[in-house]
Amino acid sequence: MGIRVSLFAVLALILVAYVGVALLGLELLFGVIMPYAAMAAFLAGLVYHVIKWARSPVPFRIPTTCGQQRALPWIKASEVDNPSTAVSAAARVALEALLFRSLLRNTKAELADGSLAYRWEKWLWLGGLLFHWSLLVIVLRHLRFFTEPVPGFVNLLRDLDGFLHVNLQVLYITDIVILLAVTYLFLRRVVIPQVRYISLPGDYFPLFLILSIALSGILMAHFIRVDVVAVKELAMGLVTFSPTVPEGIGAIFYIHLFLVSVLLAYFPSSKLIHMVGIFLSPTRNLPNDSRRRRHVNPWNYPVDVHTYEEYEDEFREKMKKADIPVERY
Amino acid sequence: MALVDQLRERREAVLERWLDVALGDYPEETARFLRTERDQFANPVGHSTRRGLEGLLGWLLRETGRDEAQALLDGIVRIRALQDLSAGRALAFILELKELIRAELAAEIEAGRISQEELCTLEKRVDGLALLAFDIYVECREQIHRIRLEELRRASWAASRLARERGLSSDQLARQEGV
Amino acid sequence: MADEILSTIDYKPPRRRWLDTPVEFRRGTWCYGAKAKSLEAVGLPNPREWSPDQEDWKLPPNWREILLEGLRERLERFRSLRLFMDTCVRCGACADKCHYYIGSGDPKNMPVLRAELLRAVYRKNFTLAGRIMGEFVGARELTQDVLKEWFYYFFQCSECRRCSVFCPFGIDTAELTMIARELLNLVGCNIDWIAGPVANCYRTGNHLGLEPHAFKDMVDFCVDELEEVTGVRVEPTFNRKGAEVLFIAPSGDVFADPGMYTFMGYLLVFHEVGLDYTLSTYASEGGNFGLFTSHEMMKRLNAKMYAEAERLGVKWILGGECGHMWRVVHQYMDTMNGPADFLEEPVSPVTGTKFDHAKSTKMVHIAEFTADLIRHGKLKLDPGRNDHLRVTFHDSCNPARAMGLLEEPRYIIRSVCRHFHEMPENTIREQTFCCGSGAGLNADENMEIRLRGGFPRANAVRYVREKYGVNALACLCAIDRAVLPPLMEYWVPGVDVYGVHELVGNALVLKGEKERTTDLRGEPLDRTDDDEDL
Repeated sequence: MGIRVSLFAVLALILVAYVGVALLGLELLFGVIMPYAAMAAFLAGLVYHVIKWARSPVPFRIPTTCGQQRALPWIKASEVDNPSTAVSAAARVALEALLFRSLLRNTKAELADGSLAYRWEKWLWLGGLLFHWSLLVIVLRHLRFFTEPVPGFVNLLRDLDGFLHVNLQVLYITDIVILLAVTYLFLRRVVIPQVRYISLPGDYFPLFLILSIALSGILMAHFIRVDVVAVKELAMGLVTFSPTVPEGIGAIFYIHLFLVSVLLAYFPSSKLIHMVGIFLSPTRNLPNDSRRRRHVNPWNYPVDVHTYEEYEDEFREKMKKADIPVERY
Repeated sequence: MALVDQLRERREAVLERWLDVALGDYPEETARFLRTERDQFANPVGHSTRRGLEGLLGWLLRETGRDEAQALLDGIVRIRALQDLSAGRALAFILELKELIRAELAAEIEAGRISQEELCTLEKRVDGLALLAFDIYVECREQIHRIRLEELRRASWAASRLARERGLSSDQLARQEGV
Repeated sequence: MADEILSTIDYKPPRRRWLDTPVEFRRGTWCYGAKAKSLEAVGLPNPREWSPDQEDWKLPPNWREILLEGLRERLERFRSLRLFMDTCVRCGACADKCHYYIGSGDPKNMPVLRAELLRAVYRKNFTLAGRIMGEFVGARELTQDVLKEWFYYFFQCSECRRCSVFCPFGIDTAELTMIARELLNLVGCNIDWIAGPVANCYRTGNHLGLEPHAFKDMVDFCVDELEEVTGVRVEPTFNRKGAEVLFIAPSGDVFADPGMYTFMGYLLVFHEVGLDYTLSTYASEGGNFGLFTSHEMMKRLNAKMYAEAERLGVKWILGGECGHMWRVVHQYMDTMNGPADFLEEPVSPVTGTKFDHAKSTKMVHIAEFTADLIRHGKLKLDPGRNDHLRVTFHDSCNPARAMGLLEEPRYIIRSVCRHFHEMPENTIREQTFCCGSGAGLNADENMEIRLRGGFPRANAVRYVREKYGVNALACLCAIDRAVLPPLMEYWVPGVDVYGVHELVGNALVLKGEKERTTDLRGEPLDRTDDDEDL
């Protein structure tokens, strides 16, 4: 059910943008108002979530330790997987965010010639990593539409990413990679029964959405050409808050832009918020130093305890008889 | 021994179908994991089942002794005796092998290249396995109960010895007090 | 007729989404409900006689409001909960990491689904999307069926944190289970095996409910046994003011078989190095089943440790071999009941080593203490006295994944044993498999789920048994010592369970001891001279 509904939702979105622009001439709506609204929703949602999370304190220091602790000086500690300082904890989070460290832990044992060998179960890690890095590069490449002059690193990235040429056209590696990666991430959701069982519409929808965005982008670059100069004019208008709607940009561009707008608006209230959440996870971003330095819980409150006095009052005679020292005879 | 030869030739196919049957007792999303995950430590249930069925097929073809069959069956039945399966369901996979073999060799049987006699002999051996499995299943269930009793004894072993010496009330030994 | 019988045996439930599959309380998988007297003893809500397999759980009329209000409160108190509700992407990396899932095949035992049980209710009540779109975004109402599902599955999680190791966002199912159980406790839905020990511990200081004189008797009993084996009489003291160190062990080590042999090992080490220590009958429990009840209950039980250390005027605290005890001591105690400024930074009186890593909490793990002794050559060891054992080591979940105590016990074992073989890499250290009975699930009525959940662990033991002839499973946890013997008996007969300090006790050469002919259990020694495979 989730798959079909999500697919139809994305198709409907495409149709809405097409009808809006090609038939009703609502370029202003789809080219200016929607992007602004989406960006506002994205930023507001992000801020809202971060504030919401930040307002809940971290009462206890609960890192998941994945290596040897730092205790006795002659035992080598595993500083990244079991950080003892804030700096190492930061390194741990960075490894997690940049290289998906935890997914890399998936090793599988295999029996080869009677002895064990460990194989690395890397597909999810690889698929996820390729997807996210391609997405990042693509987003950075798009900065060339929003900056004047275009910063050097954007051009450099573009040259690196686009070193392949097919029929005299630039073919971006990341375009290909992201299509493959999204397809893989979708297929594993469908094919692996456990993953299918746990999947919600909210897992399929963003995949279809991102796939459609990538496809519409590629279509624009290679098949249904649009006026790049006009697109840049519109983009610069948006970022300089002096929006204009140049003539003659094809409907395909508006579809692309509208899908991106939807993605932005959808982002904060969905699982995509994990982009921010990953940095806040208390099992990862805290050093394992809770015996070395006291962690303070802001809402720590006094509780009822069974005091020693109450205990001795109940058992005094028995304790005396057993020669256990007591406070009061 | 046309039947045995045929089966030997199609051993892989029969094994895969038999695995489908045995693991088909689990929910679908689990069955696939049990089926495909080859790491014997990440997937002990699937691994043991595969290894057991493989061995049992070999046993049927080789006609070796009862002890070997017992060991092979134990590896599977010990697991199934613990799962959310009724006793019948837990052991049905053995009897289902008969049907499975007939289906796999349907063409040969039809053509008369495999005699009914041979088939009957093999099926009797399968029946024998089923009975043996029944014994193991019952033994496993009994063992679980023995283990429960033994654990209670262990948990308060020293305490109950002390209690006997000092004549403490039985409440002291009540079950919720052992950890 | 035959067809009819076959069809009932063939019966397989129709495929449904997990949201539409209510839980079925099958015998052997769930634990008895908490008794009224146990809840009353510590003032927990809704004490009553009830049973999870009955239709009516005798919930308070406003149970729903209580739970939702409780959830709201906890969302405001725990960033972990807030984040873990929002950030899961259901990638499935955790799915096949749970020992209960691997051993039972029940898809709701996949960590992600266990968490979704809570998330679905969170979405429905605390997010806009969930309120509007309902099941489409995986939201659902909190009904009695959902509550029962919570009870069933959150008391089928041993809080071992293995899934959290593999989660790219560090989502920790143990944290969610702790909070879900805390919620269930708001309406009186605990299990008897947890509530009983909690009540006992609160009043008498230990889970078994041993009164002070009985506790002392148990220790004296160990002392007698030790004298028989070693010819040396050790002299532990109780509630003694002015001792340098307060020693607290899990009470299971004092009265259960085989835990008590580990306790004997502690006593021998202390005696040999002349440690100035005392035991306490008031703080006679290292374990803390409050951890499996609520953060508050954990704090209430744990408070005794510092209180007793302060009353007795000791300098620091030494803790025995226990899993969840060390989760509490390492990650919660100082925060909850500290600062312990009445204590001093721990220093080993024998070696002079400053335990700098424990300078705030002021409590040292006995494996750290003993490893330091061995490293400094303070213990005379004869590892040949463990030659009758071919040892493998089971990392207990909490010391491994909530502390990182991995090498200390290995260093000790290598020093006191000559035959030591590791289990496969993906079943030890931070990837260790749970015993299947942690977090208060070591009751006997749920033996089947325990044996299922322990199968991945047992399977790895079986591997080293077949390969190296391993016959001893060493561990660092009192619950392990209680629950691994039945697990071994069912899956890997011929493997006995040992505490690390029992092995130390076997190898430790005491001043003035008699010639030893048996180990601490009375098993004959079997020295092998040539064969050393460390």
